[in-house]
Amino acid sequence: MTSYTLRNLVARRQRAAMTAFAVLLGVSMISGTYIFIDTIHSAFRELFSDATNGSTVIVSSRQDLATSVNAPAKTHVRLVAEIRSLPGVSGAEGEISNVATIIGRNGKPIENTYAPTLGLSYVPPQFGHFTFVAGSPPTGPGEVVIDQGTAEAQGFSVGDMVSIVTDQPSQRFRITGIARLGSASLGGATFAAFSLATAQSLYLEAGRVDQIAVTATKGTSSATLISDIRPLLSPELVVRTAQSQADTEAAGIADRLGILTDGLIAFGFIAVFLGAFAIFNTFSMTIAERTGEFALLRAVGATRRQILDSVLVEAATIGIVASLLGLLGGLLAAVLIRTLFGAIGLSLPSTGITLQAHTAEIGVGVGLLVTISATLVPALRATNVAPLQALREHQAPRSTSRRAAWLQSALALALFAAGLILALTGSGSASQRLTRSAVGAGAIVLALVVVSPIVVKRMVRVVGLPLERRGRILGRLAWENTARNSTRTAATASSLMIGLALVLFVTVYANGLRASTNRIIDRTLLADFTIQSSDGTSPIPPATVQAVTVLPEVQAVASLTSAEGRLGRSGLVTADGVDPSTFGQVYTFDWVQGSDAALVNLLPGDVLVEQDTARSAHLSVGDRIPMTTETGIQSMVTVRGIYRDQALLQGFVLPSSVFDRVFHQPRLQDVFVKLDPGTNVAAAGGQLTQALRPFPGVVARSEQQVKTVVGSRVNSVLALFYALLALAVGMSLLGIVNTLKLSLHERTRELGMLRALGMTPGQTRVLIRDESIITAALGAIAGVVLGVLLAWIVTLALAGDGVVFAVPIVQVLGLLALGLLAGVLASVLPARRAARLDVLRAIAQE
Amino acid sequence: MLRDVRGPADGRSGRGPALYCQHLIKRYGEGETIVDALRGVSVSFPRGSFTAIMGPSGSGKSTLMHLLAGLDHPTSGNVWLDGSSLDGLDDTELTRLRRTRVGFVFQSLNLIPVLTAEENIVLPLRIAGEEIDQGWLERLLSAVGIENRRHHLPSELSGGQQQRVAIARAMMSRPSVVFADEPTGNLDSQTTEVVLALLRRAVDEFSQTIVMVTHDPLAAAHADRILFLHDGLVVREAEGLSAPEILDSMKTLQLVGMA
Repeated sequence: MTSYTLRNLVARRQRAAMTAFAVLLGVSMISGTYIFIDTIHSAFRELFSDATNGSTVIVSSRQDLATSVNAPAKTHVRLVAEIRSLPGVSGAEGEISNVATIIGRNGKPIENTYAPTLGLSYVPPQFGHFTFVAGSPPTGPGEVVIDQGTAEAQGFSVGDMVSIVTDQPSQRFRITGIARLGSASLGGATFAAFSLATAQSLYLEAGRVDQIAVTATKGTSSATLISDIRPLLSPELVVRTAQSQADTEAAGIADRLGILTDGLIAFGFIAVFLGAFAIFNTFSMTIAERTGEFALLRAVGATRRQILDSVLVEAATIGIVASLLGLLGGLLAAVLIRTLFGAIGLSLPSTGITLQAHTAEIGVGVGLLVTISATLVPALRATNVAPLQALREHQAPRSTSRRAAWLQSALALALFAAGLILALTGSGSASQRLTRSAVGAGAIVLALVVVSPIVVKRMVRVVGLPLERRGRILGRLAWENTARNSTRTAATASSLMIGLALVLFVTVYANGLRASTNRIIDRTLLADFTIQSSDGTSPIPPATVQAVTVLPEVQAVASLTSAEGRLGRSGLVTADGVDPSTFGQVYTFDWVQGSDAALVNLLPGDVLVEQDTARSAHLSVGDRIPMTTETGIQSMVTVRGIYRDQALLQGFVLPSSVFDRVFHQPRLQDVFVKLDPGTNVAAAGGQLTQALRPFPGVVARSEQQVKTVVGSRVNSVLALFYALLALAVGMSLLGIVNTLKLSLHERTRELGMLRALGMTPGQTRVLIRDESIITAALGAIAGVVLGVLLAWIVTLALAGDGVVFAVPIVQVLGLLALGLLAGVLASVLPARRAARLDVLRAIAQE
Repeated sequence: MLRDVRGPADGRSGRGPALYCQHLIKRYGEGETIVDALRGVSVSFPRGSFTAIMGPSGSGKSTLMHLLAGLDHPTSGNVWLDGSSLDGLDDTELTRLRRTRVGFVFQSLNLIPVLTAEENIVLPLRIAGEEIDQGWLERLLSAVGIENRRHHLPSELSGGQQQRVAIARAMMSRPSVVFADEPTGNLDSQTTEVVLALLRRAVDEFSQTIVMVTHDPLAAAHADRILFLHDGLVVREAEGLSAPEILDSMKTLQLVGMA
């Protein structure tokens, strides 16, 4: 039996290859993503372990990475001296780790979304991660060492002057050296390293450091060192080995890429799922073709079990081979994903490609599982072939029994209802409701897939009607052929349906999100200008507040400082500090509970909570709950008001007096500027820009520009999703080609007869193209309906957060056109082949 | 080009034979593997005649039919249908010719499974985009005896009924010639009789020219004239033979057993 199975595979290698291709693509995508993530992890780990190389342990704040939102806790230099005096310590050095933006030759800041722009203090070689390419360490004020990547890209060399923005306005520094941090490429990351004293003064940290690197004397273990140091530390500080410090930092970065990589993996699974339709079709057809063969095998004594095993082994072989090839494809995909990220302005550090065991396990596991489950139904059908069927010449066309149709409809209806209920009855925070509606949406998609073979029969006639009118008998033949095997057509159309539905869903949802942010900004923002960093993530130098306050046209300036924290049982959310006396002049709260009085009377110990945070933590006005900073400091606060704002103040708000004390070194995120009434806004904008000139990387934005910036962030993520979805739609296209080719193969004799009866090659092409268009049109129409439905459900679930539902007519029409185009494209090769059919050979075929 | 093919006269009213060929040679393959399927055949088929072509497998009878019907091009020689030469017509022109001037009845799987009996009958005319003569359609339906089953799908018809529909379809465009390729090869003896009688009536009542390829002496006995092919040549031409005489003839020509 085994040799029979294998010979079959070899004999039908083209078909096996087509099945394998669908699996291969999906597995490539999944394993590519894992490889990509692992590579980033190891690159970042290398980057950070290089950065802490040479020291045995590191003392730092609990929250480690100096990122835009979260600032490191402060450590007094006194602690450095205390640690130095410990036995077993050979040296301890305080370090500053902050943000510095280097200004390029063109006067523009060198920035890269998602990649850190580090501002560091130089540490001596024994702690030293710096590998000098040229020059020497910085020793005094006005001196800097920059990274090799920036130096090469900008053509900076030792002795050149360079402008750098720190917490101070742009200042000129002389480059004393060019260095690398260890061996990994920094990706888009840059660094500027100053002497410790210079760094302390630039970042207003006199007498304080961000972390302490400690080296041990010979014979002292890092464990001993850690237990010796620990008693000296305040609660928000931790001491770790250099390695675990690096791991934590790398994990932090990977977390931030989480949304994107989760998306990639989800699309990998969607691709495999879509591939399952192609596998199902291919196997169903080859098994139908081999009915006689199976019957013969049964007649000569093969058991049902042996037939089933034979088909399953065939599927498993395809699954394994395809998955292994998919792993190879994954290496390529990882490079592609990297390029894709690069294209949306996200360059990442690189090392060699990292292929881990779990990538192979997941990739091959998923590939195999999907292949086998998609083959199960056709395989079981093969076992139902009676030995007698070998003797009968033809078989009446299979039609779904009435009972099966009822069962299918009932199952679909149940799934649909369950999905709808699940999607619409969510409660809790937006993300909880979103998860719920996503599960509901999944159920609805399944419901449609289950019921599709039944619907297809009726739909085909409607969709094919225009073709019939135009092409008369050929159009009629086209839809009859499409309806002939409705399960096959349904499976083919389903994969296109899901692909297009996802495209539309993402579009509608993103539009809704954009509209809701616009509305929130309209409703709440009173400021004429908002000063932000141009990359959207870096903090603003505090000196900017002073620079704009002195302008004569300015009526009020209020700033927003940000960090992350927890409120009661909420997750980690954004905490914002505001000055209650001025903030009301630039921003008006959209109250759910409470009033403007709550802001004016906001005392230390009071908080205002965003609706979504309040929901997830089950808070209402008057509740007294603990607030926890990321460094672990806890204090009790009272909720004074609940407001709506998913755009600017996403978590909770407290008075800046408390905020600055509890959250160590919060970062200035936005500065709002309100002009005197009657001021010429355009002229004032020019004034502001002028005043901000010493701060490259900082811009003043009008309300409209703020909206555009928020919108464009949605856009760049959208672009990535579209690229992935295009891949998914491409796979459905291959599915159509595959199904068409196989169905033409089945109908060779029929086509030959039609040609003998007078159908021209041109008419043959039209016939095949029409069949393809009908299938694609079914998928496209169902996809559009499904996409709108899903978007409607999800926006309904999020209606409370102001997400608006609107059908984007242009996109809907575009997608329908795209679907039809897909149909035309898919038919090109099969139609050409059918038109070239050798009539004599075709009619001679039995 | 096409106008030339159709000629000045209609297939049934013109003078001269409906179909004739001269020095037809068909050669397959190259070099060592060369095979001469036809080695110079010249035959004429008068209007309203019923000719059977007989011969063992490999005698060239199918090749001859394919060349006569414009399904294939001869290596040399020529075919005239209604007095017009098929020489030099390309695939599309031959296809257009087949739609209206030629009818086909194949051995099996003659019909498009998704179309009803009636739709199958008018299919070639529909493909050609021509008008349907309703009166002629009704006459054919009643002649082949399937008026009551006209709206049935092929899968709902018996094998004999399917062949009767195929004959009606072959005659629907009033072609110059109907080619029947082993039309009874898949039928039992009783049904075979019905189908052959129908072909006979088509010749007698509608003056239809029919060329039938068969290896069954009983079937060939319904024809006016029998051409015996052997090794790519017409080895005998006989008229009005009975089934036993045909069998004798085949024995004499040492064709039996090879058929």
